[in-house]
Amino acid sequence: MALSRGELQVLWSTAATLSVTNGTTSTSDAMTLTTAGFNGHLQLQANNDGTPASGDTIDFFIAYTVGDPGGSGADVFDSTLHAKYLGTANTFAEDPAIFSVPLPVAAKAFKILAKNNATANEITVSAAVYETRG
Amino acid sequence: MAYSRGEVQVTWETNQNSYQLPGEEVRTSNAMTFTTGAVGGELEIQANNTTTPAAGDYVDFRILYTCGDPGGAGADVYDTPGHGQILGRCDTFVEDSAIQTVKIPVAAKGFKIYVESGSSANDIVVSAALYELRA
Repeated sequence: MALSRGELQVLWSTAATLSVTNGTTSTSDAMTLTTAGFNGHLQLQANNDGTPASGDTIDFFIAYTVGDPGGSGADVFDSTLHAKYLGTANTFAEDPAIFSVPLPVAAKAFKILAKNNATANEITVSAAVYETRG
Repeated sequence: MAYSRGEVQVTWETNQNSYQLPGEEVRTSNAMTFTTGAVGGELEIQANNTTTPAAGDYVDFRILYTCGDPGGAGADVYDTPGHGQILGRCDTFVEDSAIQTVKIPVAAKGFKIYVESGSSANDIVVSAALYELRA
């Protein structure tokens, strides 16, 4: 079996980045994992739109779907407070702040949640998955 | 499916296999790419003190992955050092050479190794190699 690799750009209202307003949480578009993907890595990035201040952090979460647990006919994603925590990008410590995590890729699809903890500044977020495909 | 195994040498500066890290300094390796067929990996990191080790003569190793270009700017973007994954500390005052191996995920596109010296005076030579299981 010849393997291949490729990038999956996470989109936010069809754009590669999104400026998240301070004190709010934004959710990416639903991203479908590649059929043949069996190994994955997710990279997350936060760029402060202003001068970083203490507390200017983004908490990232992932909300998976494996289809429709309740049988209602539409994909159901993990709820906001039960989504899996991925990590915090601290733009006061580093701007931009970028980190990556190993990503299980057996689910059907996912969304990324970005919670801006800043009191004043907007922070631009982005994310990408790199998959190994069989 | 036949598996194979192979080594990827981490290089520094002008394709050197090691780098002499001055005390209190930091350095990042060259960008390394995972083999397309890699499904598992172990990374070995090494530190050799160039003189008589003193207390505090250690090197902290981190790995900075890239998954390509999250922001869509067109160039590979690497994890920033303060947010990079800690691999471990090689303490040459305890052992010289200090060598350890850690399991790493290999699904990312590539990586760099970031080293930070805790030594106040001594140069420490660092090196690293990845061993991959390939499908």
